Amino acid sequence: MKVLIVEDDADMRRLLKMVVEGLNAETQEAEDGESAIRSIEKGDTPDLVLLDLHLPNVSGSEVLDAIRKHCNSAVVIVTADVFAASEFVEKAEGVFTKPFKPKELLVKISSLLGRR
Amino acid sequence: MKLIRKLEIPDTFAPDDLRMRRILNIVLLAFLTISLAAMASTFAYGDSLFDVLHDDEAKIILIGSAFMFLISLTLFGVNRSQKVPKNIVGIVLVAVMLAITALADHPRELANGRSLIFWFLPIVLSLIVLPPASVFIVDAGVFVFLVVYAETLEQVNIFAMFTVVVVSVLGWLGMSIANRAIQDARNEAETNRAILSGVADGVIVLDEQGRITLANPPALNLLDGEIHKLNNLLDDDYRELGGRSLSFTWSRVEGVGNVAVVRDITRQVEVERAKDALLGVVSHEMRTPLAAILGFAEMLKMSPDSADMAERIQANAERLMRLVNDLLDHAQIQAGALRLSKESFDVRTLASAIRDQFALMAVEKGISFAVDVDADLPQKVVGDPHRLQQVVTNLVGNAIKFTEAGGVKVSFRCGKNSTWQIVVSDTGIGIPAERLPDIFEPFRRASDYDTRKHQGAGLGLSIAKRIAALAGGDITVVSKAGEGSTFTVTLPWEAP
Repeated sequence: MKVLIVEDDADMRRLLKMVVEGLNAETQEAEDGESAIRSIEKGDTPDLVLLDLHLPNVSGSEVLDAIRKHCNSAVVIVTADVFAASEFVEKAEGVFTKPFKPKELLVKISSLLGRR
Repeated sequence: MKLIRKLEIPDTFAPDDLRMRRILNIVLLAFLTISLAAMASTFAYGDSLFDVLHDDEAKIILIGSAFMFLISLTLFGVNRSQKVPKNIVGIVLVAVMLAITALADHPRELANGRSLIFWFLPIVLSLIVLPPASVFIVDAGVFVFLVVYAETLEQVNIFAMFTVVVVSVLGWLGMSIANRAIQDARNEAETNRAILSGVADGVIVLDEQGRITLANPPALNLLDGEIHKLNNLLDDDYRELGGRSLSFTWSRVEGVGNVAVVRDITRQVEVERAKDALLGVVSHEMRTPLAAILGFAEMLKMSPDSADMAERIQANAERLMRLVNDLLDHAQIQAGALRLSKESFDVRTLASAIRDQFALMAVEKGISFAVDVDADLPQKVVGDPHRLQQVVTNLVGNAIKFTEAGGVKVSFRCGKNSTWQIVVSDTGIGIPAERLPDIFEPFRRASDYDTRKHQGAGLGLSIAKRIAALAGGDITVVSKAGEGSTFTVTLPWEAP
């Protein structure tokens, strides 16, 4: 099981990592959209991507497009933008707005990974 | 139709000029008709033009009326030209009338006999077609003839002269007053028009049928010349047009119709939007650190030593979160930007969500908590389920917060006149009578901020009341200090 965390805020990355590690999954981190896209295009195929929307330079929306193009990873949006979040309800496997409940995110992630 | 247009005076004349020239036109038309009739009447003197020309009296009438016809026709043409001042036409007309009167009968009859009455023709004519005071000049002319035509000085008809003066004075007064009234009315209309054109706001008047009867230049400018394309104007209080934001303020004016003041509020709308955007950013920026606080706190709780501290972090962070949300809602309400969705939702789902949300809290406090849904209440209602849940959450949260013994009861039930209600009653501390009137005012708790026992900015109830109002309903409260409170949310029932 491999989970890619795309998040520019270090604290948030750490928190998300802690949540994911509770499931004994392997984590990989990307600080911005560009490095996330690079890793996907290089051939990485994470089972799940935790994706922030507001990212430096390349937006989360573009990262999502790249993921859809290159692999079939499940994508869970984790964003503080409550207005943009609603746009992604159809496009992603899950949408969480900050602040989220780690337990709820854990349940969601485990159900998504369990299906694979 | 073409002929009528030929007879019309062009609209290019000044208003006073136009009115006088129209009157002259009518008088000249009457003269043309009379002179034609007079020419025709001469044929009573014989069967042919030859016979007529051999009768002296007929000859005089024929030549006189032909002369009058030609003069009238000439003046008629001249009257339509802007080159000749209107009074010249009037003076010539009155002079011709005076001359015709002077030649109309034997001097003896004109001075003292059956034809005295004819002298009133030029007098009345001058009152109509010339400035009223000129009647006295015509009077002087008439007096000259009356004196000249009298055979001796004793025979000069003083009584006739006196009558002429009285009629002239009365006529002059009457016409002066009438002219003055017309002038005043025109001045007032001009002033009103100048004001309407000069104000910065647009003014539109619609008649009872909704047709536009008046639109001042700013209105035409604001509506970008598309004023006649705007349908259902009356329903508008706000419209975006050509990149501008326009506000419409309607008022009914008896006898006129509906009057709208159209104002360009582009700048205000921009400011409002910038403010909203700022609030959006602020709330967004606060969410990220809050997410970290809340998330770590929850992770921390799993470690027994720090569980208590972590719980406090979480509780405080959640409180901060509620405040941010309330401030955002309050700002949106102030800006009139809070919009409710309209969707069909299940009342029982809402009821069970409320039950799940507060059951644990009530147990922890040691009070009873019951949520029941009236069996008569339809399964589905139309409204904004999230905002409605926010209202109920606020009321139930308050009820539990202020109740130490007894319990809280929430009832979903049918109301009167196609409404439905959510009643939240508690056996808590209640609200003192002096507090009841301003309980729904925002920040009402600021006055006792230092000494109060319970937390909160005092925005929740004002937001709840406002949401209920936006949904077409209301929130009422019945309470007695020490005995508890009952809040009733009444909402219009709409079939899904």
